[in-house]
Amino acid sequence: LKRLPEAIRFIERDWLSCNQVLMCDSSPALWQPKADLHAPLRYTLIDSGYSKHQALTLQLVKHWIGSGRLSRLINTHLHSDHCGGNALLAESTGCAIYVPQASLADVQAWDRVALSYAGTGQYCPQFKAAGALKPGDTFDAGGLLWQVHAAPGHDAKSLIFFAPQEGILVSADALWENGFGILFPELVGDSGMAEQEAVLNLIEALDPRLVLPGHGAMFEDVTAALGRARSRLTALREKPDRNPRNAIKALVKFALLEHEQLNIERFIQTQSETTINLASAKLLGRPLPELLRTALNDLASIGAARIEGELAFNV
Amino acid sequence: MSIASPCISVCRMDGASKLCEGCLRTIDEIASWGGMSEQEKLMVCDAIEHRKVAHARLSADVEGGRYDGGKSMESEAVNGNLSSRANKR
Repeated sequence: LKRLPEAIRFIERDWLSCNQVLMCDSSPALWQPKADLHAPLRYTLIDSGYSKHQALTLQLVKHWIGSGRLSRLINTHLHSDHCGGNALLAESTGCAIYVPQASLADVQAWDRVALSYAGTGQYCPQFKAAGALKPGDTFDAGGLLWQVHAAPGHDAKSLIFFAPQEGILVSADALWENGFGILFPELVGDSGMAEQEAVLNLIEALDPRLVLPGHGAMFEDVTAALGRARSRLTALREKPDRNPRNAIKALVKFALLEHEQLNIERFIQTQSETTINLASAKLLGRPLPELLRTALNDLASIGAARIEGELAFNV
Repeated sequence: MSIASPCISVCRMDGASKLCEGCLRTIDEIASWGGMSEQEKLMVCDAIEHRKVAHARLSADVEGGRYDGGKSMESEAVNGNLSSRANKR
């Protein structure tokens, strides 16, 4: 059985918003409705979803903590689907936000290029960081001591968190039940595959009993998930076209999820200015408009989009 | 593999029905989904199927000016006591 300790709640979301891990830092751990009788309880949240869903993210957190206090919000990495709710949560709860040390200066300067929002055309409301975590650090949350590990590959600055006492890993986009996130560094000429392989080896060595991923359900069969992730990595290595093609498809699907419907011509125009897609097109040696149309058609063929004339709809 | 989440990325709660406009789950069902057993997830999926029918009827009643605040929705859906109108949409 996938039993979480009583002090931890795993809030599964979708592909536009990442999952949240919510932990009660007070002992004994209490959740709604008992939480309201024992104020002030303190809670820690990991990651906050995409900005479009920020109202629901706040409702979900409040659903569990009642009048308790969200004291800390910790981000695994700063892609828009992991920290888009940061600003609203900080404003509504007064929580202190902790980001990866490697991203701290970018947050302080609110460098939209370095933070990837300019390059992806995604939106993230500005927030302030109270502090930072780096590989080798530890923190207490949910009655457990969490180790901070580097998890480059999907994002060079990403962190993952491991609680050895319970064997629980918060894996962000480094390992899902079926795969892992796009290797973004590879698109812009940096290395990501070797790093991803090292992260999979690290996870194997940590030997978690339960993984709480950034997207999709939590899972216990880590050996099987590592096997699938390694097969996927091998396939990416054998076919260099695959990572950039997947990246374009993932970003198109993200835009469909965000906007629900797109005017195809206008979408292609706006996407032509996003540096990540342009970088993928350059790697593939094809014009970006053609690749975007192909991605839309591919999504339609697997039932992940519907095309009607000039419009594309999310399915 | 686990039972797939019913979430379709709409993620807006309807103030009247107290259900998500997209997946027709309550806030408690969304908040608890990630920690549910497979059996509990199946029960939520069943409840969603009932609500889909009731939701169609609710929409028809709102259009017809007979909206009752959603009070009849849950009990009728669970009892399976659905009028023929319910399946129109």
